Amino acid sequence: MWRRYGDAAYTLMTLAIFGFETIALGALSLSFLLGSASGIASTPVEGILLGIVISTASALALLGLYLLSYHFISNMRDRWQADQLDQWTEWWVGLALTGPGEPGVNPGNRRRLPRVAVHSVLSLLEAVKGEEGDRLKEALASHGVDSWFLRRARSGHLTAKLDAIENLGKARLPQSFDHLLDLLHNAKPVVRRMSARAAGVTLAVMPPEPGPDSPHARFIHAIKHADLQPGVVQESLLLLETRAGPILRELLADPDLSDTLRWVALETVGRLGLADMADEAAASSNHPDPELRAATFRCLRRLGSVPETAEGPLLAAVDDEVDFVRVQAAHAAGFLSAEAALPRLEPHLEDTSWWVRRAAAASLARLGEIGVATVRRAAESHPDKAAREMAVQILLEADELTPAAARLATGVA
Amino acid sequence: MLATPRLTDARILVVDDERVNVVLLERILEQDGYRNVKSLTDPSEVVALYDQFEPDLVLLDLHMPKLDGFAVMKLLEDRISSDTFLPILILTADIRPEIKRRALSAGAKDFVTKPFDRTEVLLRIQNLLETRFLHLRMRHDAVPEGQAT
Amino acid sequence: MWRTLLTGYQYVLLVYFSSLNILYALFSCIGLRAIVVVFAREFSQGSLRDLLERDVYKPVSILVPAHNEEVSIVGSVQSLLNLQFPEFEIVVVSDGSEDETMERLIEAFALAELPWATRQDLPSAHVRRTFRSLTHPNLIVVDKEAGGKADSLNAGLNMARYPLFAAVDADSLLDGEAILRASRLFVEDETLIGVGGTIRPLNAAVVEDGRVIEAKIPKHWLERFQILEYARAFFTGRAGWSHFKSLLIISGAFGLFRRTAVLEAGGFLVGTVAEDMELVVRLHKHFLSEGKPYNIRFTPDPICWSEVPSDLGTLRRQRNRWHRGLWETLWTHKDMLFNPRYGRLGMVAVPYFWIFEALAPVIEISGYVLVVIGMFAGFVSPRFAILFVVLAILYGMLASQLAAGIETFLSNRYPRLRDRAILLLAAFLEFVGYRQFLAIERTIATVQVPFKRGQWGKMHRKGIRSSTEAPSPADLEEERTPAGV
Repeated sequence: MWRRYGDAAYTLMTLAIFGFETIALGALSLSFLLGSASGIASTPVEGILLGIVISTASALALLGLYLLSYHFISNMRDRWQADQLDQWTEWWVGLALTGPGEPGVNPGNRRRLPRVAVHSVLSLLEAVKGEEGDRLKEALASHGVDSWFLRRARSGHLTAKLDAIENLGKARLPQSFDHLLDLLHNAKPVVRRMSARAAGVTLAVMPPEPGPDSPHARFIHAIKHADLQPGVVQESLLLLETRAGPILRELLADPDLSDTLRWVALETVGRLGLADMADEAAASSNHPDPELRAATFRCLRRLGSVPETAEGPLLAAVDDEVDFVRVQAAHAAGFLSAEAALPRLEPHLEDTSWWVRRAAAASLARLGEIGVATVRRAAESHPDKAAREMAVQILLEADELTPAAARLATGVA
Repeated sequence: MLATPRLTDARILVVDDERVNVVLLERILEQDGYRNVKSLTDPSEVVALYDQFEPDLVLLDLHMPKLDGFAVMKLLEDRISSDTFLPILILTADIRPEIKRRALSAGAKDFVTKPFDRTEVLLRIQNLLETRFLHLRMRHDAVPEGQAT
Repeated sequence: MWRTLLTGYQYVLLVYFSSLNILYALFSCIGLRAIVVVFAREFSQGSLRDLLERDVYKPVSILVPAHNEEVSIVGSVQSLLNLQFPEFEIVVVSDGSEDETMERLIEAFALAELPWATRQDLPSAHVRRTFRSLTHPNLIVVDKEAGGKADSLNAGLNMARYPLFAAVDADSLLDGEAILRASRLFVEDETLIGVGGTIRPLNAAVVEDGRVIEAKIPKHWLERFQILEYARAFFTGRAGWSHFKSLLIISGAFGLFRRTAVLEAGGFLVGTVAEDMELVVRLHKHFLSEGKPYNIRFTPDPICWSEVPSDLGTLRRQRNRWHRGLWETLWTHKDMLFNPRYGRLGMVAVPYFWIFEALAPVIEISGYVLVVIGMFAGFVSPRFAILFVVLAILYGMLASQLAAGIETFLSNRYPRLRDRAILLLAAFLEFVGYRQFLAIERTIATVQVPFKRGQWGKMHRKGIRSSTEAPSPADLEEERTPAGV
């Protein structure tokens, strides 16, 4: 989508030209003001004006030529880069498959690897793991690529920083992990965001270590104390994939965990489908904050299971005073037994909130034959019009009713 | 009677939009003895190359711009007759279970997630090729003498 | 006395021109670096992106208001249905169409008329019938009495059930991947209530299966100029404002909004010609008055492809409408002008739009007129006048060339030499006729504002009856974020 070379030079040139124009225009205005004191278009103003016109025209010509010549330059460069990429890829693959035994044909034999070489090896690392992957990682380290990225990640220049963080994320080198965690405290939000993601993917491939000072522990400490939006923390946790479980467990078990992070943890458990954590998740069913109660039930709904300990609070929450808590509780209640859930859900077919009515009807329809029968009854004869309509709609969506029957039921032509 | 072709003579087609992945797979196959490997980075050329090359196995990436793996499988499906066993091995970074299901029901015969292990991939390729050649033999044997295949 | 006045005005013109261009230069550079360059890195290709976009997004409701679109509606809906996005719904709202729009939809998508349990969060014209497609469960069609585009959007919002929504015209093409990236922005930033995307002209693009395979430079110069215009407006103007958290206008552009936020602000305003522009201003106002943290930003991602006018008549009407819409919006919210209560918006952005956007064509035309008068009346030296006009044109060309440059360097959308050369040429030619023509039209629009409120040109408004049901209590999305936004 976006290319990333040539932009620095172009930006600089544009900046310079516009900067010059700005000064020139300022001078023009000033001289005009001074000039108008003594007459309308006095010659010094005209002179300046002429000067600016000429310089602007030149700038136009210059930039135009740059753009056109860039076309040729970039075509050649693209081809050259493609060739280089192929060469480097061949070399890296050779190294991966046969080991660094013989130095092989190293195109260039430079101490620092060119960008193309790094791009090649990072792409290969996305494709192959195991012995071959390890050899590539060693090669990266031996060329000092990781330390080079780390230096750039700490540099002041924003684009260099972001480039480096992005590449560290691709490389997933364990030695970069702590530095990425440090960057979570950077002043710029975009740096923090990208570092969080890179830290997540890196941790995902690091072997689990026990102990209070393990990478897990450092990660948890970092996200607790960094200024990150909840969505960013969630992304980072999701990127942990199979490693997320123990970390989430630790987070949820912490009684001092902030509400925001608890919410994030619940969301992540639900999204990752960690069914074995249903109990830990359910612990927040009675939380004073309605957002967290709702998040708990949403999580249980995603997991598709409600542990026994949570049944009571869940059923009570169907009558919660806060509407969005009722919604999530009603949805989750669809995973309970019909005897338990039905009597609690049925009254909410005529709840004041459209969303609760929908959730109640949908859950009832999921409770087996008796649930569907309840909804059918409501569709036919519930005294509340809104309840009838919602029942009909849910039956339609569940393919329990044909469109023709639905129209008949609600008296639509 | 058809002499059993050696597995390493098999024609293998690699389709992946990333040049790096293509080179990697080519070298891995080469190292393992396969001599007849062709590759594409532009999936829109698949059909033409398929007709010309008639591969025994296709290694296919899923997420490609313009034409993704599913679209390619659909195109190939229209091309091959129903009794041809054309093994398609999907190689992708997408670990979602629903993608796997979708790929397998779209005609893929096997599914490997990236990053992959070299030995595992080679093993699966070998299995698929063996099945393919067995199938070809059976089909050839089923046709009575004197009739064109 | 005339002399002094005219001289004074000349000076005003010069200061105006200088300030305008200096500000423009400032925004260009900031926008270029802050948004485009950073964006390119944050959202670059890569498996990291793929990993996240699997799970981290919010589903989207796409609202399609349609009035008498029998010719194109089926094709448009079909291409929208092909959107490469994991979870979305399409709500087509027929705004009292008198032609075959509904019939064609019913036939093409196996629509079944169904009683629909609707919410009534916003008032709208009477909804006659609602349909659901039996073949595409995520397609809903609403047959409503005429009430205008804003009214249709409000009716659509009443039907929508996802946390985010976007309103598109019936002939727009969306890029699913770009929407995915945009919806991720909402997950990452819970205070975000709106994202303005970029529109690219669809003319001459090669489309397959609802996706743009290749962008080509159209043959008609009018369309070529518009490519540059859009690029300039988005990459430099909008990007710059977004950086300063003062993105006021997402006009004629693609916007992705958080449904609850828009409902909170009251939905779309009926009776204005630029309801999208007006909405954004009102969102700012609402959240600033409430003192709630919020964010509205711009993404240089090309989310939407849209047909741009290829003939002068349609183009004139479109720009006329846009400019009237701008005035209507600014006038409706004139209390924001220089009002410190609205912070940077009131003190900088709104005044900027009054002075340098709304009034710009008037001042520009008056400048030309003045120069001509002055030359004939003899108190402006012809050399000065000509040089001045030439400078104005050259400076405009510079700005246009910047847009062409951004296309070249960063988006690489038109990679052939011929295309690039044409774009550069367009950057020159735009300012010898096209711009001036549009300036005249926009000046006419300015004059027409008091007389043509809310008119689209050919359409007429019928009265709006609000629905019989009272609005239900504050609506909820199914996913509730801690900030409650």
